[in-house]
Amino acid sequence: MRRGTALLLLAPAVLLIAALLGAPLAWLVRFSVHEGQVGVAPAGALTLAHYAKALGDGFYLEVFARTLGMALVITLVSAVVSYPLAHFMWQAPRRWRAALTILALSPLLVSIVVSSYGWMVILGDQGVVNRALLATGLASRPVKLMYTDLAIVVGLVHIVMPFMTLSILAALERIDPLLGEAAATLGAPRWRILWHVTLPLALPGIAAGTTIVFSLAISSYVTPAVLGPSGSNFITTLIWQQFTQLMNWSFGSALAALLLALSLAVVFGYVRLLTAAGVFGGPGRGAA
Amino acid sequence: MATVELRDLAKSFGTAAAVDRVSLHVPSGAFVTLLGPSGCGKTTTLRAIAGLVEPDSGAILLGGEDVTRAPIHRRDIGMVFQSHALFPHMTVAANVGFGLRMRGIGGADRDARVREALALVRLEAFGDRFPAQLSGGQQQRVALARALVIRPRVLLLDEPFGALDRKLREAMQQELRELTRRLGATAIFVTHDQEEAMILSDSVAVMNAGRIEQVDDPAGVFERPRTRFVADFMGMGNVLAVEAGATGSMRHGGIELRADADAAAPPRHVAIRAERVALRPATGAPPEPNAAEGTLLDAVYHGSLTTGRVRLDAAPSTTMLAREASATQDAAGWRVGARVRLSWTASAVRMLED
Repeated sequence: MRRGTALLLLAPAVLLIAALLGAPLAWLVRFSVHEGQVGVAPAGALTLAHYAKALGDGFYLEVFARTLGMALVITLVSAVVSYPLAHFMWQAPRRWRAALTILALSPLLVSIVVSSYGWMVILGDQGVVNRALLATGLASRPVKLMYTDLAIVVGLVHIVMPFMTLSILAALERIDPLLGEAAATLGAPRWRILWHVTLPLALPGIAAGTTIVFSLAISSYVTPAVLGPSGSNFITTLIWQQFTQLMNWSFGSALAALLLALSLAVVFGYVRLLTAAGVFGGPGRGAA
Repeated sequence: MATVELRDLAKSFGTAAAVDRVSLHVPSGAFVTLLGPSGCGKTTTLRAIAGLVEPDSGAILLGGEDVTRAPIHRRDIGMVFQSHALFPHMTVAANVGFGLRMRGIGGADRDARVREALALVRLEAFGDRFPAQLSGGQQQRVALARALVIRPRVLLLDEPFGALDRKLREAMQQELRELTRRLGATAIFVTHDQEEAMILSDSVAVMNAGRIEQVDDPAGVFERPRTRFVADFMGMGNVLAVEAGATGSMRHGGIELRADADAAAPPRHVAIRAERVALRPATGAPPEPNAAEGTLLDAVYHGSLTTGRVRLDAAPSTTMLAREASATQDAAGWRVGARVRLSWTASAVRMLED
């Protein structure tokens, strides 16, 4: 294809991103460097005071750190939980594939709000888990599960799992099934095939999955708001407060811009690291 | 290395029998080829020996030890696959050392054996490369080194040169032949290429529909096929239905055939290798045994050989093949449409079992 044609075909996507992502982002940054607002427009003198406030206040820094920590935990947990599922889907008979894929995607078929409230039914004091604990005598009174960090992790892992599972599955599908057989004939029992052959070759998928899931987790709002502890636990809930309750759009914008910068910095550093380690590309990753 | 013994090995997939009571004895140090068309059960047999396919019944013995139910990783076999199956994320040295690592052999011992194995396939300088940086032939040599370095009881090769071009394939055949003879390796090789089977093997087992039809040395299966299938698969060219004729001779249509051997029962088919049929201008001489006149339908040039197809006067529904070196004056003078006389000796007539 000629270069001109390629650019022409790219144009709709580029325009869409520019219009729907670039423009609001620019608007957001504009807000963050103005003193305040009039109506829905930034107003007052240009200032970096909002950034100074966010970065200078231990409270905000702590919430940023907590958010980052939670996102990392969710990413790790979802990788650990999704790998076996992806491996199972990979090994399962072909005719099960469609049904299993729908099952794996099912968290995305339900609205995040609905599934978050669903978790309340399961994790609440009168919920399924606590009833079971009480009935079996494993607990004498309800264990606090709702409005905890654990509830956020459970609720978010559930939502982000499809992205992780399908990323890993895509990598597994590219593995020549003969590699496992070759390893077995060379004396490798199953677990050593998994450790020395399958897992290393699934790394690009795990890398892609963790990148996507981290970006989703660190910017998630509904799940932490519904399932998490009350008060300021996630940076996104603070941003929401600034916009809707305190009507301080400039400071909210500064927090949002900082969140985006943090997320980008982590993802960028991670991808650099993986590239250096040869997980993406590298001489050993070409088709054999 | 060890002997390999298959006893009444059987395996079905669904209702289709892939391997149907196969028995085979491979002496220590022998190179045996399982030869047959696709779907004949040769690969399934090989995979059963490796442990990659569990047989329904029968037994597999390696060096006298029954390994029929032994897990793959305990069988001490070296296997080479058509698609190499090299680990793409490991260097050549790590690939070759993999089997040693699985056996807990490490350090200097492993390094020395890996170097030795790479030297065997003349790839000493390539240890630090990744498989994707090698050519197809080099990759297959790495696969061979990886299978040999563990000093397996038997080397199993599943059409290892199928993906290589002809010239490279011939070079690899030569190399494999020398290597296995030098090491005294017991090897079982699977292929559908009869020429490859004959070049490599001490003995060839021709398979059809899950069974071994004939086991013989290369000249045996080539010159003396026992069954119609083997005759056909080994490219005899002419397989003729015959009836018992007068005084120990046989008839195909109006043609009388004589063989120089006696059959226990009168055969229903005979085979005559096309190369042993002489094609000359017709003489109009009266009919005689082991000769027939007809019309040359066409002459196909395949390089060093030329094949003529002849419709016989005495059996109009039969076309017989005659093949001669293209360089000879006779083949050069073949004229399509000409009247010709075919003749062959009694020793060329092979009586077949059904």
